[in-house]
Amino acid sequence: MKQEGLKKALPYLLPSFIILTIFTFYPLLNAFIQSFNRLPTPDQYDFSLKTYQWLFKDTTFMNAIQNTLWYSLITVPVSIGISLMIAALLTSIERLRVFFQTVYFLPYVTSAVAVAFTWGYLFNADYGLINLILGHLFGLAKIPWIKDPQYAMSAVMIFGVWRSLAFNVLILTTGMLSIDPQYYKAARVDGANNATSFFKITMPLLAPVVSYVFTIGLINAFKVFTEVYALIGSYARVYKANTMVFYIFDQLWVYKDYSLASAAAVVLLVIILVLTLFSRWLARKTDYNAS
Amino acid sequence: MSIKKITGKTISYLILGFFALITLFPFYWMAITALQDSNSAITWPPQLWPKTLHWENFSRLLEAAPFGRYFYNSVVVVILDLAVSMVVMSFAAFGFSHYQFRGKETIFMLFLATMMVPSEALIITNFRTVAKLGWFDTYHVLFLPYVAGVFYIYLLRQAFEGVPKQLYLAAKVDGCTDFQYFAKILVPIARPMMITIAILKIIASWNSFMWPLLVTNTSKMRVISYGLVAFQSEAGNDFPLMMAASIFTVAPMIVLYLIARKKIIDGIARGGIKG
Repeated sequence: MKQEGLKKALPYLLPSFIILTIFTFYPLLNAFIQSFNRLPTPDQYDFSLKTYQWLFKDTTFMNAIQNTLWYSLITVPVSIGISLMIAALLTSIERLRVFFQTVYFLPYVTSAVAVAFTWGYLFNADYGLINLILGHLFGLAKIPWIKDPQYAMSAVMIFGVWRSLAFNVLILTTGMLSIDPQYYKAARVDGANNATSFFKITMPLLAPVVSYVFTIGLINAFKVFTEVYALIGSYARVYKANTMVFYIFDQLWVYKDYSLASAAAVVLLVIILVLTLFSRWLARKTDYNAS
Repeated sequence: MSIKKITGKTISYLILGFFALITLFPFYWMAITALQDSNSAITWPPQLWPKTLHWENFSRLLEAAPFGRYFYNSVVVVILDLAVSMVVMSFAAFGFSHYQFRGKETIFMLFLATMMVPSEALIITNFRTVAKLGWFDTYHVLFLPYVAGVFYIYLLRQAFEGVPKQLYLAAKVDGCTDFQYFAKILVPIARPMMITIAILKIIASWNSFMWPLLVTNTSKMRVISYGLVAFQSEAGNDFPLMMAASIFTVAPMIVLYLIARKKIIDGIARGGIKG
């Protein structure tokens, strides 16, 4: 009976199983194997830990890790902070709420590349609107946002926050709207003001949702690539705007060093795995319903 | 309403309006720059509204680069992706939801675990795999590695499991095979979820960038996001043409979004709340 079930299910499961085996399970395993290869291509194999030594001695990779860390540690909290405020305001109003929600979510569905080019124009040192506004308001000299190692990463971060608001606002607003209004009514009877309600009711009940957007945000931030490629260009490493995925891309595309690329990918994989497990733990800890 | 309440409401709307402006402004800027003439786009100060609208920028763009072709390629890839992935994913969801066998939940967990793996870690090997298969510059290479979206399989499995078993028994009595039950009863019932997933898949497919960049060599096979990047290195500082090209890229998704806004938002929010 049991084995018959498998026989019947097999034709349905096989297509996805084959695809996942070829394009997910096998490359995952292969990345580990390849990362221990001293030689750059899989055509010859010599097991060694040298690749990881080289990786962590490579100043470009260390710069990439540093940039990725800064990018994650700044954009994620900033974006969630702004999103929490927007979500709180959205739940407090009724008129135009759908309109605002529609507007805020727009960047999520539009191509990062195309929008990054518009931001590139806005950031343009000579003709960009951002420098015009900064010059008008604060009398600042023209800032070379894109083509200067000092500013390139900041430009990427500003763009990154702008783009990530869409998802965070949606999830946090949905989370807030699903909180039972009874709690707020009861609090008002007890004389709580809006701020007290927000910190004593909304935040604790919203904690699992916040930890969720925090995790997704961090994971996406650690994988940042398209934003950099489209805004800064394919020579991001020259402008010290390299990121971990960009490093993988460069090793693969420019230097054809599959082993270093794999080692960098394994490092990224481990970071994301740790973040995911941490978030699972955090979600369980913060979930009021579960405890 | 008290004065205090009205002031509070006004401030709320002002802040929300401010952020709506920041969200929309780049799109506005994209649109009006696309209609500027090339010289006034590089004058200081920038113009917030062009004096004359240069619609001919779009025809200039099509002369400068084969964006018609890029657009067509993207449409073809999206359609093929959709056709193949919806079959693969709904099959998998049916296999997991309808049949009982030993190790089923273990295999399903193995599927779900791949969600933690960043696809960026997989492209190194996938790049070599498709090179060996001789798949560069084909349509299928652009989507085939991504047709088994495990998160969508998970959502579909849930939708299928929500359908009462009595329907299956009744279908059996009427002489339906399992496949007929799947195709004629289950899929139509789960249509709302199927549509949501299809729309999310369209958006992801249309906007995909890194993989097409790696596996396309000839300009003839470029999808629109890659075509856009390639055009940037060719067009350099011709911002109006760049922005016109960007509009080609974002417009279809904006239209889709305005039509299917509720489906898209619900789909994303569901993923968010369920984890």
